[in-house]
Amino acid sequence: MNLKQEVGGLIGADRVSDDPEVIAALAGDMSFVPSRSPDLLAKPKGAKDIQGIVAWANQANVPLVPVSSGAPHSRGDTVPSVGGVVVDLSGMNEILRINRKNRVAVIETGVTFSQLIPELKKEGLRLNLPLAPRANKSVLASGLEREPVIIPRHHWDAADPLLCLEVVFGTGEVFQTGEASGPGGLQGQWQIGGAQKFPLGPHQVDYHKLIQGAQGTIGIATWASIKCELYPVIDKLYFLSDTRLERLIEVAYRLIRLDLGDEVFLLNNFTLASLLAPNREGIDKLVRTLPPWILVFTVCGYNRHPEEKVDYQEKDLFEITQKEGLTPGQSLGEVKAEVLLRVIRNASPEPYWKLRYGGENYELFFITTLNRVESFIPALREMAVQENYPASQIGIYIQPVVQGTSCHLGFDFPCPQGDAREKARIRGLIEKASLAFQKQGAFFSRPYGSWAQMVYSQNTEFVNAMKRVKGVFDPKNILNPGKLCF
Amino acid sequence: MALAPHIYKMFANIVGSVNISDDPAILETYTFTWLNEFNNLCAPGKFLPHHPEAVLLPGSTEEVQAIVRACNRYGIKFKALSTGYGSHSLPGQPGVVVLDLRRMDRILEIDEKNKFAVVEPYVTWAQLEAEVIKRGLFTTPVQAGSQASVLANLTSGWGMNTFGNHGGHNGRNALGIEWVLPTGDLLKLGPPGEWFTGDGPGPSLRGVMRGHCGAQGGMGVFTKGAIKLHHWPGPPKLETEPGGMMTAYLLKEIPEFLEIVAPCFDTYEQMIDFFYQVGDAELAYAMMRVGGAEHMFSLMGAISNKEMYEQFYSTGLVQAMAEEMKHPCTVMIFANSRREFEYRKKVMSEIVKETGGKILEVMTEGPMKDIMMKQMPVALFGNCTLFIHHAGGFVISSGYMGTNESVVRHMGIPQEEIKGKWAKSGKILDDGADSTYYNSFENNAYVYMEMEFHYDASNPESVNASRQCLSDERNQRRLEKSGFEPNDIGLTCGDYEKSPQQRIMDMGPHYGNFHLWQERIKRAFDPNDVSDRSWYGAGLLTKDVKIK
Repeated sequence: MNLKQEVGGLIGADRVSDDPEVIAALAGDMSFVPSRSPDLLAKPKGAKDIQGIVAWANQANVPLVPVSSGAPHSRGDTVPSVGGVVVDLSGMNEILRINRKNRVAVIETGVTFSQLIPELKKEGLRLNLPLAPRANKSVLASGLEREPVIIPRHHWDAADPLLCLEVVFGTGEVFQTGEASGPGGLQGQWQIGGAQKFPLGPHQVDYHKLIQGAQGTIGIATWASIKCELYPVIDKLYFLSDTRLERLIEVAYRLIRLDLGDEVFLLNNFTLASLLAPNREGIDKLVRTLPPWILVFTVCGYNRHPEEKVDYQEKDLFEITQKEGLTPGQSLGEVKAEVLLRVIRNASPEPYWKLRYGGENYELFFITTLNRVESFIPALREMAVQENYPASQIGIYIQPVVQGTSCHLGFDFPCPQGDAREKARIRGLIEKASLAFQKQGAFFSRPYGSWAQMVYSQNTEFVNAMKRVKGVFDPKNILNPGKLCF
Repeated sequence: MALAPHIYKMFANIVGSVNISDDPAILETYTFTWLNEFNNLCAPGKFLPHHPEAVLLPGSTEEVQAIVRACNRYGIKFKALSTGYGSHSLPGQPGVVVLDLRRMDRILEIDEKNKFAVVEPYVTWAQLEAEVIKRGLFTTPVQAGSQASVLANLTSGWGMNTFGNHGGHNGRNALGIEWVLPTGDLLKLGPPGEWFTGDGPGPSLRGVMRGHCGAQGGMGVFTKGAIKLHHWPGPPKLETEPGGMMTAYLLKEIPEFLEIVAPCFDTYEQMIDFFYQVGDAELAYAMMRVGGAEHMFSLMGAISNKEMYEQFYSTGLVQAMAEEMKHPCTVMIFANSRREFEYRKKVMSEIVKETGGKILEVMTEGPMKDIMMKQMPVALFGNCTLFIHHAGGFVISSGYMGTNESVVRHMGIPQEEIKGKWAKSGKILDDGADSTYYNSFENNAYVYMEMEFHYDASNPESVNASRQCLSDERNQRRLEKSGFEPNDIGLTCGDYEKSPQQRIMDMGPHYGNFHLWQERIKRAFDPNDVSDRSWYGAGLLTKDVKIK
């Protein structure tokens, strides 16, 4: 019996494929991770199917690579290292519950941003979103990847907005984490007023934190509860721009400190243009009209006296910006606030905004603190010049996270589609900068691709501890082998 | 069994001879703590049955590591202790050396801009609060009191706190952590040499650090940790003057933009509605339901149990107030500007009215007005806890984390009934109220609820009645639900007729066999089984449980 027959026997012949075209599409992504083909694609329908596949894989010693978002993938975590079966969860896409009262949604793994955002809005809710995510990106996967989100004051912990999960561990056992643990299942817990809001536990282990950031190496999630926020009644977006970052960072610190504003993030002109313009020409044109640095923040009013809430926030905010000698505005040249507001409240229209300039894009990102951001940027630009990469085409995105205790600093490098030479040049630049920045204190908390080796080679004790965890939850290294330190 | 002389000498070489003791008089003190008489580990009496073999006072991470490595080499069990609170902080089995971390008491860093502080294990909430308030920042002091360790709350205990509505749950407030694993290896969570995060690279090992209940000494020793702080809208120093009763001092001046609102509700439904509305509007710096009238009075008005009784109980005042204040809530509004303050007060007032809240005149006029505004903030900021010891002993029911509906339905309502029954028996204190502590987190994203029972710690009959009271609660819940509620803090605290290990064995199968997962993790991280497992996972009993 071959793989196809064996897995097909478990979940149904119509849910597996070894069609060469299908397999080829799964063999690589838009990263520097070398392409490698899986042997089979499997599309389970639910936890029982996944359990069956994991049990079989343990017995047959076949690697499993979980995937939940639609293409294009860009970080190498879904590219098989040693073949095996790609477990595609995109078909498990039911929104199981939206609960306005407790501000929470429970969703299956394949639910995408473009699917969930409008459904939440109908209930007066919204997600604390990543910056204009891909429309076909799995909401649950985004949470698992700890993607930065744009409302820092609602980001209480690095795990947010992901709360509780159901997961099939590498051993094949099913487990529910946090408040979702315990008798009754989802339905039973809803009946007694539960809402899967408290993520810790059960008892003395925070299982969700072990699954998060694991790139599918610890368990395969089947559903999760996602923390939601109220949808504003009044919504105003402001720009604050400057030629230097320093004053904008000071303002960002004050806004976050005082819980003023909802969305708060900083961009360079290239990233703002990429978010707004439809193509390369449009981006080139728009960039020229924009100041080098832009702080974006929103002021929102909710159900109770929204005008008054917006009014006091605006007045308090303007006092802060005035102290820095800056004036917020609702337009920036030809860019209108309401246009950007629509962009950041939704999934990205196609083509995905990071791909509009070159067709391909490569990323460099890490965690640092806002007051150190400026130490990285000139160094990167200098390295770009040395590598003959146009510094003006580097997108920069600074996102305060965990209520401003740290920030995500991301650089985007557009690349002409299919240009292998340019890709190699960008790769060299990113690898060089990554090494330099790590020495400078940058924390590569989400170590995709070659960052894993770079980061883990410096932290033996962490690797030893992680291997102990792996030994508990996936002792046969069935799940996504070759990633992280496994 | 005393330590062999050469082992004692080895430990003395690590910490210095003045920082180790096996004097029986000293060791005895490490068996005495709150709640001992309640646990059948040691009942009857106030002392745990297992004296430590020795007490060591390490002064650095390096000394902790050396001790733990020696313990592994010689098969000696250890238990780390910082400020301690309850039986779970002391050895739960024979043959344990205690690492008393009181010498590691420094605040290592306060990062004002990025809102975090780095502390050693014996830094208390009071110590940290006094420093950060000068810098316009505030903490999230644990309910156990400001005398308790910050780091223990982040890593080893539960994490509930009075300012959770604005400051979050301390299980989610930890950033970088330094951790001596049970093997003696040193693990740093987050970037080397930095404290601004503790998650990654890749998965977060905060996942094996604490969970809901904290490691309770079963997973090594936490030696440094960073805690997220939040904004303090008040002045850099709170001026006080003598006065008041319980705290013995009052605020000299009420900080600008601070107000305490104390509405009472006739029903839980009204109160729950109020919590949801205030949570949605993000109005509160702190929001809780603190017991009933007796809690209010004891918090603010009595310096001793005797005084409390004479002034309030024997006069019938508490009982009368309990009727008026069925579900009393306390909300602190603390704003950053006049405009924000006025907005918040206006919306709060609107919500109180809409949800059927009553602001009793007695609370807003005359002496109570001063008590509410000048003494209540002191009690909350200072996190006083003496108020819970009216009868010498107290214990909490199993506490719940969850939504307002779930905790009230499955803890509040049945527990009130059961407590009433036992209070009438005269065997536990009839405090005239349900003594509920009910606290909101993250703008009412979830709440915590527990109920307190006061008993006479010197009277075995009273102690036993309290146990029975909790067991009644358990039995009732089992009948109703055929199991247990998610995130019952009582996984380790409840059902006192059984040992902690028996409780875990009972409950594990209802919670995805978490006890077996924890056992696997314990074995992976502590192969020589030296970090006292008495309060970790299934503790002693699971040693022989077959793990597939």
